[in-house]
Formats: sequence, structure tokens, C-alpha cells
Amino acid sequence: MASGLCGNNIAENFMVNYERFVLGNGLKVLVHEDKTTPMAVMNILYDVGARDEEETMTGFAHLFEHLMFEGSKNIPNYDGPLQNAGGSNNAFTSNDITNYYLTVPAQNIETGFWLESDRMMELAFLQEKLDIQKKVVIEEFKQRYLNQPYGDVWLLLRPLVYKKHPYLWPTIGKEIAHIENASLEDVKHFFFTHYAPNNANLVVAGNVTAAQVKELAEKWFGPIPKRDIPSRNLPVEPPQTEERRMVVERDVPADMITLAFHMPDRNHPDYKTYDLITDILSSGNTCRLYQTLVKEKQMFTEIGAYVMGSIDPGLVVVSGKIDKKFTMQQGENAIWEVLEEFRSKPIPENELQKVKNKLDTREKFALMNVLTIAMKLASSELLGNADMINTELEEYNQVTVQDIQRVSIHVFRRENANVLEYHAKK
Amino acid sequence: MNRTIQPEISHHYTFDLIEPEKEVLSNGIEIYYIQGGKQDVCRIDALYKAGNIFEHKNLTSSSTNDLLGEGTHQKTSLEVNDAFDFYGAYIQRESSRDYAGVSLFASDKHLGKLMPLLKDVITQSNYSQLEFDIYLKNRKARYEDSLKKVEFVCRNEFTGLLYGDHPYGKSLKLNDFENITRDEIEAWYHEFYRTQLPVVFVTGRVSEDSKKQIAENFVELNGKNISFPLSNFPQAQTGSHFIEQPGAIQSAIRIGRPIITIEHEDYSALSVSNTLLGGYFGSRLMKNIREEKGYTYGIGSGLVSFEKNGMWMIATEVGKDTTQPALTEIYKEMELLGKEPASDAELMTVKNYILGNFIKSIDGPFNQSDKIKTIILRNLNKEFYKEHIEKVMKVTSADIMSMVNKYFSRDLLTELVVGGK
Repeated sequence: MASGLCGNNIAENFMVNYERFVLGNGLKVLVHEDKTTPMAVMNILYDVGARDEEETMTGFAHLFEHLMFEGSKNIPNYDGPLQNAGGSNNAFTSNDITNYYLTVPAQNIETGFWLESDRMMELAFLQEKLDIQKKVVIEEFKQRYLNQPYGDVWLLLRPLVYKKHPYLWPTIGKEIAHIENASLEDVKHFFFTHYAPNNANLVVAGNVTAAQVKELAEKWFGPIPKRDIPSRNLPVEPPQTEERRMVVERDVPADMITLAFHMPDRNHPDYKTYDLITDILSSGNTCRLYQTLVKEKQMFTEIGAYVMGSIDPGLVVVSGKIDKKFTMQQGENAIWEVLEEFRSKPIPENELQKVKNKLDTREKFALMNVLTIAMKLASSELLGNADMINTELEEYNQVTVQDIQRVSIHVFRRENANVLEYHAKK
Repeated sequence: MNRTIQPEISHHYTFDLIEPEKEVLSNGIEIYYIQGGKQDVCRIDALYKAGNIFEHKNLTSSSTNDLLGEGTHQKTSLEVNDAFDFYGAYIQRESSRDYAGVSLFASDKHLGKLMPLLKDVITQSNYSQLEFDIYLKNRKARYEDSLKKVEFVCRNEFTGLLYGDHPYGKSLKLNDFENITRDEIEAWYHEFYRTQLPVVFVTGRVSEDSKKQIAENFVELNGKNISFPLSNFPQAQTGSHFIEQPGAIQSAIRIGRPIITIEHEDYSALSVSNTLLGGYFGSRLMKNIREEKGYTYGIGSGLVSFEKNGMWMIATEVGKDTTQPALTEIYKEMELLGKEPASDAELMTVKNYILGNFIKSIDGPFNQSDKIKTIILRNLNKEFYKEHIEKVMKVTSADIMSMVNKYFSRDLLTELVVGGK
């Protein structure tokens, strides 16, 4: 089959047009014009995430995200005026960033500028709102992490894998007590330390013009003062030298095994190779893990692999649920056998080409959505180069089967493995 | 510059749904083209009236659909899937109450090669015992996981309470996995896929050449058109129900009822009432239960229109200790909405939100195709959504009180709590 493979013709790929400028206060602004949509989207990415928290106050960046919707200096209610303008919005916090986004009919985009600039300027800081949002976040903690089968996997894994770097706690926080203890003083301090025009980027996409966005950005965001943002100085995770293992037992129906391996940071030249390795392992029904372990050996009922995609050095994760007829040990050994095949010889060319082809199709579907474009521009800008949105696919295409083998030899080592045995209570 | 004043807003929108281009093949298959989009990719949906409303045994419809093309008379499951992968294409299999079917996502330039494959998936599936056994075993494992989730148990049991033995009343039980056989799946496949014609929707940018390929492959299918079974309005088990889930730290709550569908004259006013109560972030329920009391991470309500009946429900997860107070507040909000007129400002916000959200929901061919499918599959008039939005804009606070009293009155509702209280 290899000779007839469809390679990608890069010249055909659609390029995302954008303009970029920087305001006097340091706010980076990017605009993507699309006249075919009646909507406009606004994405504001703040360069602050759970990795910037104190170890005794984890979960704070995320709690803070909730407070961003509880009124700013001049606007008591964020959601009402936006809904009135026909818009909707949401936000998410990760270990690296806090990202806010809204969608609104294009003629009402100025309401977005008004709302977002006011909360970048200053929040209302109300004790009563803080108390309620603490409760909401605690319910979120329960709903997503504690009251779900296997919900605590990442609460267990992170401190196993990371010993120094703040990725050792999840975005929701290490424990509920950290959220309960947050004070209004902490909130104010966090705001003035991390929320500033010079610590954010703004992307506007859709039925707008660059000139219009420039004018509105100057008008609404221009007057916000630059703030002193302490430079990030996070502890570096020391190299792992021997295998780590954690064994727990929970009231769940089946055993689950998770293997997490350290990998380089998001901007490392090998990042895309790692990403493709996990696609070959687990994307679709023809992938290695599914074919070998679910279909042939019938040892797993489900299995997957992925990269964490974090900015600082991250993780390759392989995780699956084991059929009751097999033991944890058998499941783990079978995973290692699959990984060993990536180390011992180059994989067939067509296996690599097909994941590249699929990536190309998925990317085309994704880039039809202006919000996806805005978020991608924002994260690329944060990584240092917005143009990555147009060059990334080509970089994926450059990855060879030799790269896959070289990286596999390096990453899939016992002394680089963190194993979580999550046993079903008998 | 006064930052306390919102910039001027306008609600002057033009909205036109794309007029789908209809092609009727000589065998009777209708293909609808919803053309447009910035990229040369498309999605092809082949939909069958084969949802679980037709089932005599749970799992039949979804299992048959999930295993479409997982092995054909000529190729193994791996060979079929590899062939799609080869062109960077992928297929999704989806089944619901009324419809089941398969969707192909692909580049236009490869359709010539992919269409015969898609046809094989639909017409040549062989349902081997091995594929069936592996599928059922793994699905059962996922079901066992779900039984540990209060949200799933509540959703699953709630439908049973609402619909009982009505065709929409499916709730999955553990022994369903022991009762289903490969032969039944294959029989279902023959009855619903081999002797019925699908309705086909093609969304995206396709060339004239590709259209020819699409027609040439679908024209080879044989079958007839079938109708949905008639059914009575379901008899819900109203009142409060409780399932204790040992160890749960939150309770899942559902409150709702079988209700009118999108065609009914009350639908527009009812949908505004629903949005105001629990259908958006600024809703009464969200404001009270989350933003004032902090009992939950989220609460919402929604209207669903199946082919022959509708469903309305409120759903949330709350801390075990606050289950009772949350229930009290939910009913309080419903009562209030039936007793006191909503302010003009609140009504305006809700309408503007619905309008803006509608504009977003018809942005581009892929979003529009959902609306167009509804119009075609339900046989609605072409101007349906335009008229619906016009009716929404005319809804008054008196209409809302009348809808709430007519449809959300407590004696008509079923409440289910799963967890603890």
C-alpha cells in the first residue's frame, strides 16, 4: 500500500490571514477577518495558570476565573449586558493559562471590548461573591473529581510524576481546604500580580476589520496601565532516574492502568513527533493499541494514549481499563510489548502517513470555526509565534519514521515510567 | 469615556437558511446538498429510521449501527477502517431515539474512492460473532462504569419514569447485555438498513464530479420508505422518586415531563419560558441555585423534540447536604414564574439572547445543516425558523405565566433524585 499513499499537498492548504499589533501598554492584539460569518468572537488569554500558584494555595487561578464573572469596577454584572447584545461566553483555566472567550453578532462586538477591558482594568472584589464562588468551585471539585469513578486519577498521578515543578497539582487544586481558605486579600493580590495588558493577548475574529479592531482596542484597552509582572521562575523538574509506581484500590468496576512518561516542552522540536506517536498508538480503530490489546488479545475494554500538550516539559500518557479475565500485571506487560515495537524498529511508512492524512482532514474541519481560529492564534502567540497556525501542519509532515523510533527509544524506558495501578475493590 | 454605560447595540439581523439543493435518484433516495464552507471538505450523512423507538429489545438499534462496516462480506473490520484512514477520512456512527446512521467526513478530492467504501459499510456489513462479542463486552464494561455516576443513573432511570413502556421509555439494564444475540442484530440490519432507503445530506464544498459519484453509489441501494410507529401520549409516573447511591457525595436531580413538540402552536412561547427559567447562564435557576446559593456547579433546563413526543427537564448535580434546599428553591422559582410577570428588561434580555444564539446556530453550512435536517425530516415549512423567531420576539410576560401554569404545574411533573438526601 505504501507506494500509492496520498501525501498532502501543502500548497492547497488554506492559510489563516491575520494582522498583529501591540498597544502602548503591551497588550498584543491579533485580528482575523472573515466576511462570511455574521458573528465576531473575542478571545483573551492571560498568561497565568495553576503553575503560577503557591503550593499552599492551589486551585486559586481557577477560582479566580470564576470571580472574573462576578462584576468589575464599573460593570456590576458581566453576563447580562452580553446576553442583551445576543452574545454568549465561557472560560477555562489550565495549568498554563486562563482563557476567556465570547461570541456575539458582529455589529455588537464593542460590548465585548467594554466588558473585557473593564475587568482587565479592575474587579469589584466583593466578599459575598467570593464566598459563593468558593462553594460553586467546591461543588465542581466534587462533581468532576470526587463523585466520578476514576475521577481522582490525576489527583494521584500528578504528585507521582512531578516532584518539584508545580504541575504536581491539578487546576482544580490539591484539596478542597485550599479553596476554602482563599481570602479577598489573596484575590486582590493575584489580580494585580497577573492580570494586566502586558500579560495577555487579545484575538478578535469574524466579521470585523483590522482597522475597526485597532480603533476599539485603543479606545477600551489603551487606557489600562501596564503593571509590574514578576518574571516566572518555576522550579525545574529534575530528571527521573528510576521507575515510580503507585497502587490504589477504589470502588470501581474494573482495574485501570496508567503509564505516564516525561517528555519535552511544547516548543521543543520533537513535540510533534511525540504527538504523532500517540496518534499512531491510539487514534481511531486501526491504531496499534486498539488493534493489539482490544481486538486481538481482548485484554482491554478501552485504551488510549495522548500527550498533555503543556508548555513546560509534559507527559505522554497511556491508559486503559483491563478486562476482568486478565490481571493488572498482564495488562501492563501487554502495553510494554506494544511500546517496545516502536523502539525496536521503524514503523511502516504508511502507518505514519495515515495519521498525517487524518490530521490534515481534522484540521480543515476545525479551521472552519472562527472561535477555533481565535483560540489557536492566541495559544500560538503565547508560544512566541502566531504564525504557527499556518506552519504547524508542514512541521507535522516533516516527521519521519526514524524520528518516531528515535523518540520512542528515548521516552519509553522503565526508568522514565510512572505507573498508577488503580485496582477495583474485590 | 464613561465605562458604566454599555456601547450601543443593535438587533438588526438578516437570516436566511441556505436553500438545500434536492436530488431524487431513480431508486427514490433523496439527497440534499447544503453547499458552502471555506475548505474543500464535506460531511455525508445517511440517515435511517432505525432508532431505538422501533426496538423490541434494548441495545438492538445502537449495536447494529455501531457495528456497521466493522467487517463486510469482502473485508475485515481492520481493512475497512484502514481504507478510510488511507484517505484521511473517518466515519462516525450515531443512533438516537428516532434515527440511526453513518456520517463520512472527507476531502472532496477523495470522494470518488470513498463513496464505494461508504456504500459497502451500509450494504455489505457481515456482523461476525467475534466483532459482536468484543463490542458487547466492551460496551457492558462502559455501562458498569456509568452505573457509578449519579448523573447517568438519574438520566437512565428518568426516561423510564417518564415514558414507562412507551417506545421512548428506554432505560438500559445490566441483563440487557445477556439478552441480545448476534442473530437479532443481523436481522435488524436486514430489516432496517437493507430494505429501507436512507435520507442523505451532503454538507460542505463538493464538486460536480463528486456529486456524480455520490449519486452513482446511492442509486445502487434498494428499499422502501418506512414510517414511524404511531403512539399515544405517555403516562408518566409523576411525583417524587429517589434512588439511593451509597457513597455518593453529590445527588443528581431531574425534574420534568413528556411535552409538546416543535410543531405545536405553544412551542415558541414555551421555549422562551424554558430559557428564562433554566435555558441560559442568566436564567432564574442558574442565578438562584448557583450564583446566589452556591449549591451547584451548574443547573439547566431544556426542551427536546423527538419525532412523536417531546420531553422537558431540569437537570443538576448538587451536594448531598443541599439536595433538599435545592429542590425547594427549584420549585419556588417555577411557582414564582407562574405567579409574577417577568420584568420587561428580563424578557428583553432573554429574547436578545435567543436571537443572537440563533444567528450563531445558522453560521455557515455545517451549523445550518442541523436546522435544515430538522425542517426536512420533520416536514416543516421552509420558513419555520423565521416564523418561530418572529413569534419568540412577540412573547409577553403574560404568555410566559400562562405557559408555566399550563405546562410546568407541579402535579404534572416527575422528580428523580439519585444519590442521597
